[in-house]
Amino acid sequence: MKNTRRADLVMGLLFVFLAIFWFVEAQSMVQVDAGLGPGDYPKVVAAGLFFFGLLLTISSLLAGLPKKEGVMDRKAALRLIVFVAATIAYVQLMKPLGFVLTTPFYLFFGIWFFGYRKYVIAAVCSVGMTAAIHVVFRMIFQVMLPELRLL
Amino acid sequence: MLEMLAYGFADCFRPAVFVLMFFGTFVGVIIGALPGMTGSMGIILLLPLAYHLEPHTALIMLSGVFCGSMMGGSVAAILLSTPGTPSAGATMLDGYPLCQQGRAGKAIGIATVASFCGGMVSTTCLILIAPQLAKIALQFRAADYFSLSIFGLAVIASASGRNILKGLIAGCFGLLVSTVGIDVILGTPRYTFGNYYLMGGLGLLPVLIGAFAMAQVFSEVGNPPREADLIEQKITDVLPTWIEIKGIALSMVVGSLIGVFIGIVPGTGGGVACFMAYNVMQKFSKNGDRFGSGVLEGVAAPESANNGSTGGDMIPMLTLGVPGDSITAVMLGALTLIGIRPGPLLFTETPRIVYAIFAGWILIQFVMLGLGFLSAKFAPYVLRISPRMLLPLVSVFCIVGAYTLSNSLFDVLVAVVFGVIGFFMRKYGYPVAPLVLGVILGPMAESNLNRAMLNSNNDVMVLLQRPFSAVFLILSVISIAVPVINSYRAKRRLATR
Repeated sequence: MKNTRRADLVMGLLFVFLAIFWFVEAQSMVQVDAGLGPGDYPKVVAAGLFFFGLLLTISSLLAGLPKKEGVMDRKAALRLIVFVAATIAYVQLMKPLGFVLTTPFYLFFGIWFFGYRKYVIAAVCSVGMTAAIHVVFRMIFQVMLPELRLL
Repeated sequence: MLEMLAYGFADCFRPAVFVLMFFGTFVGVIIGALPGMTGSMGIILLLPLAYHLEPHTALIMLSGVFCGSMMGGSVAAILLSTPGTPSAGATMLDGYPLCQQGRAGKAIGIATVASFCGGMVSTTCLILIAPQLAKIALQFRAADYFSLSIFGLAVIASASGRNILKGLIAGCFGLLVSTVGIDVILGTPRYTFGNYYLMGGLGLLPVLIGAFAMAQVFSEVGNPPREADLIEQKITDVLPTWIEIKGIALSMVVGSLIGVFIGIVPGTGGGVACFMAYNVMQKFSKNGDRFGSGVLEGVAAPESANNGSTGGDMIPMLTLGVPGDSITAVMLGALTLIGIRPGPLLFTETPRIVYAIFAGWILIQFVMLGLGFLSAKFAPYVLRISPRMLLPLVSVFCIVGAYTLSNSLFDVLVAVVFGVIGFFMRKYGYPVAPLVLGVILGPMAESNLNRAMLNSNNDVMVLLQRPFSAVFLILSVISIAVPVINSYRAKRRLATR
């Protein structure tokens, strides 16, 4: 089993802080006399998260932290950042440029990024799949996907 | 009951419903056959379509994906020695040796017949047991429902990973996420930070799409998948002979019954059922010593078990609204989205939907039987589709799916964010199913706790005074304590050695 104690410590602390934040925010919400107020249930849940997060933190500290922990290699992290950034950029560009214009480029980039090197097939598939998705959603489900806006 | 079932069949034979049932099962078989793609992902990818259908049509289509993916998983296990889904893990043990002997067609044929048998047995149990359990569940009150939500979360947290603590954290995180947006009781905005888009809360569909499907795509980014390594052979001789069917009959019956039992037990599913059935048959079959070298019984037992678990899985989900594993958690999310609230009231208020599901479930087994035999012809082509081309396509489907619910790009960004969260959860051993279940059960738990508190003048002890509620809370403690104690004992045993 992969050793993730260092990551467990970080995640445990992260959950503890998140729970504290959630609890403090809930304190400022309206209080009621009978039943649950808007902040009561979040407080119960935050208390649970705090308890389990603290347990994870303490257990990873008690187990002893390894000197070095190969949690995620640099290359894989960089690839993930690039792909997520490309996805966010695609979503943002879809609003002004529309689904039909942006999707073939995103698909082609994705296919290349995952290591497929037959460019003609990749280009044909990118355009073909975009057209197919557009037709299915527009004609059958009548969902308006974002379209190119000139103004 | 028979009259309602007849109405159910009439609903299912409407052309649109039948076509979509066929389509769902076909998609399920394809998705199941593709390594790395699971039934949960198939259901999520079809949710945008399901959202535009009548509830029972959508549910029948998604049930087709569920059952089809169970069968489809065996095709990859036989042809590639890589189970398409975790539920086909044991099928690989004898399926791939059969493929190496040039008998891939026979292995697929046996897997199909066994899947059909398991599916039919589990459907019969679903039809017989679910209405009875729903009758008992009708006596539940608010406190019972709250404790049931806790039980559902405890069970799925304790069963969905090696580290229960991480499962519980994931469940609490899901409950936390469900508190974002306008509160259901007084209408107060919570954790919206002045953002208009957060007023409606974080949508279930974007969270589902992100945590399950996008996270899967992101996990493949670091290590791009390899092309499938298919053994080139002409797949023939798919239909099993009568003698072969007689030879595997016992395996199918035992496997189906194990599957149903395992399916009903919350927190387990096809993955456990297939290995259990395989081990039982290996011990008791006269060919037990040949298991692993390409025995037909070694394919029949796990395949009947994993399909046997499908109907069993649906029993607690439909009657109590509590899923037993990740795929039924996704199904529960899908039902919630298409406007069906699983639970005992489903059986009394909309019995027609329930019996349409039952009838659909029977028909799906026949569709699956036909598709299973045909899959021997089309599966090799499907398995040649490069995953490198498929993953970006899945990513686009996720984005379009998240967008279609409310035509909002904000929902798409939520899906991407939950994709990243899901990626890190997988990477560091946090199960995703409790997170999703927390998001689904959160509002139900809150409103029922509120009602219980109102009825009891804020006396928390009501949760222990109601017998059903007390039983669920005790079971929650047991379901967490037992694996913890077992793991502690195992560690001590290891230390003393």
